Amino acid sequence: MTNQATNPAERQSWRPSEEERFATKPTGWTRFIRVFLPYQIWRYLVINLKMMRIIFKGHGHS
Amino acid sequence: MARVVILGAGVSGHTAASFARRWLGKEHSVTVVSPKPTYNWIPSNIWVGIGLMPEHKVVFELAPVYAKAGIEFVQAKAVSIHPEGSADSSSPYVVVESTLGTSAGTQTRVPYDYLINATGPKLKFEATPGLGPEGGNSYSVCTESHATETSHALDESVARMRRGEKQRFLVGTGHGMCTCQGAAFEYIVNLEFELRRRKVRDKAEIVWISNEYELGDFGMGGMHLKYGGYVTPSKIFTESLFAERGLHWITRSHVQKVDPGRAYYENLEGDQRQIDFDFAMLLPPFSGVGMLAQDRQGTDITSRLFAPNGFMKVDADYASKSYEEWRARDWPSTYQNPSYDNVFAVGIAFAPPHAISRPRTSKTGTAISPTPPRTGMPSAIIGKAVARTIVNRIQGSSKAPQRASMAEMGAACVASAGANPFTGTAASMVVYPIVPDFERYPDYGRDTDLTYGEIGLAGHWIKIGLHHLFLHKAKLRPGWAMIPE
Ligand SMILES: Cc1cc2nc3c(=O)[nH]c(=O)nc-3n(C[C@H](O)[C@H](O)[C@H](O)COP(=O)(O)OP(=O)(O)OC[C@H]3O[C@@H](n4cnc5c(N)ncnc54)[C@H](O)[C@@H]3O)c2cc1C
Repeated sequence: MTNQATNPAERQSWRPSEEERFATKPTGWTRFIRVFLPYQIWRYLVINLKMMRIIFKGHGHS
Repeated sequence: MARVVILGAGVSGHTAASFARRWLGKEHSVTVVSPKPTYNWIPSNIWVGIGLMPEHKVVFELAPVYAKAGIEFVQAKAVSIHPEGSADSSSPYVVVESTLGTSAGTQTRVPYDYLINATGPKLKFEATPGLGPEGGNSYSVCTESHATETSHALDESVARMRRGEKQRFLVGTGHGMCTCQGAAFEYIVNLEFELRRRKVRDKAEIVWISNEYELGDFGMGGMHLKYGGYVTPSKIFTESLFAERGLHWITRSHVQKVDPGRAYYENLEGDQRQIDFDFAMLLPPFSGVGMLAQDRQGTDITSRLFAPNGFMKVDADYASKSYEEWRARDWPSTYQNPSYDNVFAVGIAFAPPHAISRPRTSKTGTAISPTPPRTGMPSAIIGKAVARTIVNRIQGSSKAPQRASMAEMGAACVASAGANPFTGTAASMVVYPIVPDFERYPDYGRDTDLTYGEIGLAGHWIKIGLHHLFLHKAKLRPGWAMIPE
């Protein structure tokens, strides 16, 4: 099976919505901190704790 | 001796069977009926579909695991439920059709005292002409084999881009009534990451299409997160991630038809539109698997056990209500069928009372809004709770059922956004409760102190950890029962 368009030259043009220009974008600092090892090790611990909190809150009860 | 029969060996059924077996004495039997010989850790299918993980790493053979645990395994698909037995015996049973080797197609009866329907979804590709990999014109990652086929198609597209061709990728939902937007979201962001890794990103245009009213709805009506001094809707974060990655988006749309290289869709405004593509990964809508039910005389009682969409009726409030009248308590908590109290449905197999996202129809009357997701964590919690209810009843310790309402439980979800141990990221999300409760939390329906999300490398490490942890648990290896759902 292929889902390749029969001929790319025949492909109809499509334009993204103008609205996309109004999206919030992360700064360089935000992108850096997302993969900055020491900070991410700390976040790893924090996220795990937040998840454990929800796990222990959410199990079945009679 | 009691017989507990579980239909389906996915997240919910496998969890229910494993705990029922652990808690019940050997004088009682636990039987799993499932048409496939393998268990699939579905969340990791995303990585198979990107070509980062081979299929064999997301599946394993069930028979040896069940043999070791003392669970009987019947490789078959359930066809009909007979909760009152037949004219010659009042013992309830399920008719199953073998899918195993030379006996394939043979029907037999599997008697039960307690039945758990955990059959998950039917992937309803046929709802949209041309949708899906089986005779259609788009790909999927819903099963491990679909995901492998998708990764091969991706390789082909990458080869074309390396030869200098441009490619347009279309990813999202293939129908106005789809759920599981989270899986498509993971696919699109992983795809973008992978195309960058393969150094062809500049040749790719990547477009999202979905039935969500806003990006970040995920079938849960979106969520509000406390961040940077604001309570911010998930739309903002999702749009931001898409904009950062150069992903385009079309929302509020129902895909009507998928031709080779072209998708036709209608939006909420009633506009008829089309978009050409070179590669499309579009998820199908879900329904129940289509089991029938009969009473003792052989009269069809399917509508007594199942809702029209094929999901099984449980203790939910199914009265038709407007969005404004929806209440958290409409959601089920015991998962017991109202007509037969020894029949339960867990995971995707139970009929939800209504959606979570506000229902909408286009100007031409087409329904375009997400149906409610039942993700891995609640599916497993519900499976375990129902196993406890049944075990308590068998052991005579309690008649009161365990309760596990999605309106009273939270869910943690980690959505991969790029797989690399140093540069990868994932969105880690926690919502409480899953189903918003506007009586308890009037502003946002959820507890904004518990509901939480962030994107970063740590999330990717957690996602990798979950892959190994949940496969370890599913294989019933030492300590499995200690691993939370
Ligand atoms: C691509 C993808 C990615 C996802 N990622 C995540 C994620 O990251 N996190 C998350 O929480 N959730 C995720 N989900 C959702 C998650 O996979 C589901 O919530 C979960 O699988 C539901 O479990 P279930 O047991 O109800 O159904 P399933 O896991 O689908 O299991 C159904 C079982 O029933 C069997 N069956 C079918 N028909 C019959 C029949 N007639 N008789 C007997 N047995 C039958 C099937 O073979 C299967 O064994 C993802 C889903 C997809 C598609």
